[in-house]
Order: sequence, then C-alpha cells, then structure tokens
Amino acid sequence: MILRVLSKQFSREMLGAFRQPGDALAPVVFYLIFGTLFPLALGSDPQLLAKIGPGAIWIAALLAVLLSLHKLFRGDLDNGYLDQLLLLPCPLFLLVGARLLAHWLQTGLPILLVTPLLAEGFGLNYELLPVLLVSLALGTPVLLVLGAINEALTLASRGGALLALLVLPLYVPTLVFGSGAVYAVYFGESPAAHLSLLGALTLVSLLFSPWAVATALRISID
Amino acid sequence: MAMDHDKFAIQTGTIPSMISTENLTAVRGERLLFNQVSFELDYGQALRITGANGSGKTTLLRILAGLSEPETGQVHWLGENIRDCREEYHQNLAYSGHQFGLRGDLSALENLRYLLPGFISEPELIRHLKQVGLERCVALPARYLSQGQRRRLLLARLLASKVSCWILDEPLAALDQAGITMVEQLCEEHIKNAGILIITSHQNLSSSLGEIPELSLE
Repeated sequence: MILRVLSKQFSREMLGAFRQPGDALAPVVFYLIFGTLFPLALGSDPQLLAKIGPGAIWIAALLAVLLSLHKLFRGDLDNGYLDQLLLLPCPLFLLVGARLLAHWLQTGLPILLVTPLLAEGFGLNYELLPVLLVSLALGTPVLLVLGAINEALTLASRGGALLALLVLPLYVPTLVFGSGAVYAVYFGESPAAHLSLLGALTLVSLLFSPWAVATALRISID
Repeated sequence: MAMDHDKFAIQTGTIPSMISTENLTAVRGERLLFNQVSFELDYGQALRITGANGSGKTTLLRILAGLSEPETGQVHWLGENIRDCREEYHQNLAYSGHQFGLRGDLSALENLRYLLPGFISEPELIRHLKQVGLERCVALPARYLSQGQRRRLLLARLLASKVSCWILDEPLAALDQAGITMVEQLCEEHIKNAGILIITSHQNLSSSLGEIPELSLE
C-alpha cells in the first residue's frame, strides 16, 4: 500500500514536469546561460577562465537549484493538493522523500548532464571534469534538501526573498567543499578530504531532511 | 454506487463511537473561534456544522481531518487520538475543502487517479467520471474545467474512494441544481450505508438531509 502511494506520487511529479517541460527545464537553462556569462564578461584569457571555472560552475549550480525551489510545494499549496498530500495514508516523510527524488531528477540530474558543456566553455582541463561531476552529484542533493526545508518553513509567509536570505548562508559549506574538491585537483592535490566531507554532508542531510521537511509542512499547513 | 457494508463492520470492534471530540477549542490570531466543542459520531450518523462567515467552520473541519491542531482538546478515531493513528484514520477519511487539489496541467482522469491513494483501474475511474457527468472532460486538462466541474470531479473522488468518513466543506458551492441533487443523493446513500458525514453548507439541504443534527458555532 505504502509503496503504491509513493510510486503514484512520484509519477505525478514526473508527469507534471513532462507536461510543463519549459517550466521544468528553466533551472538548467539558467545554469547554462549564467555559466556562459562569465567567459563573455571576463574576455578571452584562457588561464583566468580555467582558474575561476570550477568556482563559477558551482555558483551557477547553486543558483539554479535555488531558482527551482519554488516549484517544490508552492503550486500544490495554491491548488490545495498539499492538504490532500498530508491526508494520504502514508508517512509524510516518505512522501516528501519521493517528491525530493523526483525534483532532483528534474533539476540536479540535468545540471550534471550539461556540466561538460560548461566545462568546455571555461576551457577546464579534462582531468578536472570527473571530480567536478562527482562533487556536483554529491552537492546538488544537499542544496536541494536544505532549500526544501526552508521552502517548507516559509510557505506560509510566501516570501521568495526571505527564502534566499535564509538558504544562502546554509549553502556555504556545500559550496566550499564542492568547489574545494575541484580546486584540490587543479593544484595537483588529492580531492579525497573535500569529497568525503561533502559526502558526509550529503548522507546526513538526506537522512534527516525528509523528516524535517515533513514537520515544517505540517506547521505551515496548520 | 454500492457501498461496501462489511468493510465498515470489520472496524467496529467494541469501541462505541468512530469519531469523537473532547473540548475542542480553536484560536486564530488573538481571536477565540470556538470553545469546548464536543460530540460523538457513529456509523450512519451525520453532523452539519452551521455558523456565520468566520465562525470557524472550516477550521473545525480541518482540525477534525487532522490538518490543523486545536488549541486544546482532542479528536479521537475509534477511541484513539488521531495524532497516534494518523495513517489508519486517513485510510478511512475523505476530506474536501475549499480548494480542489487539482493540478491544471493534468487531465481530469489523471487528477482523479492521483487524488486516490489506492489503485483503481482506468475503466472504473472513467465510470465514476461518467457518473458525475464529466464523461466529455476525461482527457481535458483540469485548468479548463469550470468551478462546478471541479466540484463534480471531487464527487467522483468520493465515489471512487469508498471510505467510511466524509468531511465536506461547502460541497454545494458552485454546483448547478442537478449537481446539488447529486451531492444530496450521495450523502443520503453514504449515511444509509453506515458511513459518517460531517458537512458545512450555507444552502438549505433537501428534506431528508435537513434532519441531520446541527452543531452551531457561535
């Protein structure tokens, strides 16, 4: 029963994204455009671009995830579906987990897929690409779930700017370890330390966030 | 719409009332909405909640459904606080509020499917949509449905869900005369089939539904 409810909710989220592809792909397109602004603005100094590349790509990914957060619950709050979600005979944190997974597949995964393009634009060394992809694969879920907690908490206040102000400081560790891993390879060191810290961050946040989001949703809906 | 009689009987056990409340009090902001609301409802019983705009009808219904927390007091399902048996309670509950919970870019059929927790075959879902007069809107995105049609979609959901406890907030709003008659028939049949009905409505209900007990919020 619970699995059936969960798979149904998951497919609802995915189907909704397929029905509104423009809406669903907006964060990835933003990611690409934002990333390409750097080479345009900084001119054609290959060494400079290759140096700021990892950091700029990470900031682009962070902002793209931030941009996608409003789609998580807001639409369903407005149309009343969140009420029905809370009334499904299934633990809410599992439902939240299914929704976060669907959302990551719609934003995080496409970001990973187009990252080689951006890396090419910055002229990144090819040996940096694997560690960049790994760091983004570990980091984007953290960005997503931290944002989801804040989004669920601020649902009632409807403040988009408030969300950004609350979330951005929380994104700092992820950003530091994520881009740090790539720069470690850039300077010829091992990225292991950064990646394991980032991985720990991912595990902890994935473990606790569904529960935190569920609790925040119940408070916001009340 | 044959309601499964035995399904409710299994859950009877020895506990007397299915839904009961104890001294519910709700506060919104600084204002006391209602105070010390207590009642018990058993199989085949209905309750109509009346009161002026802003008297807390919707708040009471949301508390009963477990969406909001009362300031004081408790809601019990089969003698257990609904906070402790949320899933069991929600398995038996259909709540329909002011908003419909429909996603505009999904079709009527898809919306109906996703509003129901269990698996129901597509022909059966379409049959329920026909029953409420939405046979021509099955594949239509929900954003093109009128208010009345959206209400009807929720009726189809009530029909398909086969749960024992209905909590309906203004189910007659935006419906035409045929729709109102349909709701009243559905409610009558639901009560006859030992279901529980808690309803608010500003409109007068038909004679047979007019006899159900009223709870007035001052």
